[in-house]
Amino acid sequence: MGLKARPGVQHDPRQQPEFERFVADRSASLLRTAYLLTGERGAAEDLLQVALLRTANRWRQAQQAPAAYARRVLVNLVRDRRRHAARRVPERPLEEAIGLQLDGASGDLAAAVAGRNEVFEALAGLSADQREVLVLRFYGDLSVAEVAAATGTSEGTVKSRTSRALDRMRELLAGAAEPSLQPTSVETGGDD
Amino acid sequence: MTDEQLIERIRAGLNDQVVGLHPPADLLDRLQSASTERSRRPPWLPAGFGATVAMVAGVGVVVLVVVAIATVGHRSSSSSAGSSVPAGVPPDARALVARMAVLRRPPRPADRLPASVIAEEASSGGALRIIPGLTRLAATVDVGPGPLSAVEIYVVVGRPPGYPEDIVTALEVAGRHGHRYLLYPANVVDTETAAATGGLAPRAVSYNAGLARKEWLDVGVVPDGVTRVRWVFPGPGGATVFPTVENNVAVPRAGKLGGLLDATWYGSDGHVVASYSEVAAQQAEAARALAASARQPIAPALIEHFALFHRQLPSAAKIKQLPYHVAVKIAQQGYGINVKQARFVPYPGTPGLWVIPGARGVSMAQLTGQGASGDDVTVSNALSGRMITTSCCTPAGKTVWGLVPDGNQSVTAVLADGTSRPVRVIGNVYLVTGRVTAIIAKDAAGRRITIQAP
Repeated sequence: MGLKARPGVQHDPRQQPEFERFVADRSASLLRTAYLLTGERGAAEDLLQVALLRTANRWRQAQQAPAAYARRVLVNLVRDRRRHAARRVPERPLEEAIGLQLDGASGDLAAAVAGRNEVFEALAGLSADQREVLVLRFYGDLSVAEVAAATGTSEGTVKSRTSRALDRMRELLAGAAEPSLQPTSVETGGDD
Repeated sequence: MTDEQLIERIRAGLNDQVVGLHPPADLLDRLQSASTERSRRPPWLPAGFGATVAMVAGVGVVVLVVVAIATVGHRSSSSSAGSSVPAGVPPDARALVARMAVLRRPPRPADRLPASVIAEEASSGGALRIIPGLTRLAATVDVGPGPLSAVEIYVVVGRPPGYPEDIVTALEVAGRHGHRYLLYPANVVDTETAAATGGLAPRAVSYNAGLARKEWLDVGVVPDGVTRVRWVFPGPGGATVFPTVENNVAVPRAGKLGGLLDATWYGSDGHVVASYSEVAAQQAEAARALAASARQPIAPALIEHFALFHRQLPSAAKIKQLPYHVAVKIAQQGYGINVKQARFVPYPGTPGLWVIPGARGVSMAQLTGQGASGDDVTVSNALSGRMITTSCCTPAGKTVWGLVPDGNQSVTAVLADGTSRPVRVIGNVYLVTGRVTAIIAKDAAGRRITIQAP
């Protein structure tokens, strides 16, 4: 079996460090945004990779505001993926071990896990548009104008979607609070 | 809750959710690799990343390991402590993991199937329900120049449509990065084999043709302990191949192979772990079909309306003259045909015709050299005279022959020139050669019928 080594590529050394810095600085944020938009870690990594490749291929165009460019590409990729969802491999839901970092060892793991999951699960109850604006606004800390640019909509649309998304999140979190905080819903035996 | 409190809660919840999520340690390598496979190469990617990659990879790996350990430690009791098997994996899949080291090794980012891959399965065309945590990139095979130069072989555990249990199989993925796709549908063994072995059987080899250099890429999955594999493919004397075994997959270096005839797994000390023979399997299948056929009853209506079946008893000696492979083929048809009840009709001018009744239909065969031609129909079609077939062709035209119920001493053949002529019926069978367009006969109820010749 010929195990094939990945070949190198030609490059322009003048532009390499700039892009590398961009990847080092922004890939984590983009990955997390993709994860929050798709709910799947694997998909998030794939979309991140494609988004970075497309950004690279348009680097001269993107380098003025590479983060915004990559974010816009990423949002479009998430939309494409959603449109093609019916053609995708059905997967069994498995809890993804993306980990949880608590501040010191004193945190209440059960409460932290429950609280984290509540927000994430509630996010899944939003429409795709609402989810986009909420993630970009409150995870990405983007301004209304930046969200509008990333989603290709007007600022007014962003504001109205944000408002409706918050209303919906309030309902969902209120509905989820009681059952998800039941002590039996979370394993605490491993808490240290 | 005020808007500010709600927003703060959302911010905290979202940040907590992703705080342990980091890009793959080899992200820059992946980008570099992907860019080489694109016709439009980005101008910035370097040939080597040295310290940057090492730093990113190191930090990423450390964080992922810490996060994974912390998470596993807090998982429910259903998780296997110290195992890379994801929680929620069913027992049948766990049994496969226990037999395959490649599935037990900690997953790497590259082990995940590309999102663009639709894991179709060959026999049904449906999609495998793959367990996401149980995919491993086992090998990358260089199959020569061209856009499909590198084929990535993933070992996956999943459930084909309609299967009762999970199986292990290999998926071959090719194409440009970011646009990778399944090279061929997964070639999954039948449900019986899958239920018995979980797909871990010497027979479970996928045959994929049509690569850039018109070669075949055959892939097998093997359990731990199998260090050598022998495959025999069709060819003069049989083409024997010893594929490389690595990471629980067997892949030949190259080949122009075909359907698998024999497969043998060997252990490190040379003993045979398991084997498969296509010939033996076919013989076993034929024996099963013949045994099942011999138990089939004959439909009462056939006995009632076809004197052939109640006046003439089958002769064991005569039945032995029905070639074995023809008998097997008839036994494997539908309609519950009983080959032990075959009747031989010595129709003049022919080597003879065979009429074989069954529970739900009737079959006819005429030996032609090493083979046979014929047809089979349901009982009701036989009663209405619709058992009619042809053998092609003589200078005088095609031979039309068929089965008619009692009450037909002869039938009338209508010819293409508008004329007609009587044709003798022997043992409920008629046979005529010429430019026949239709046969006029009587059905089981005595009604006159016209049957168009095929």
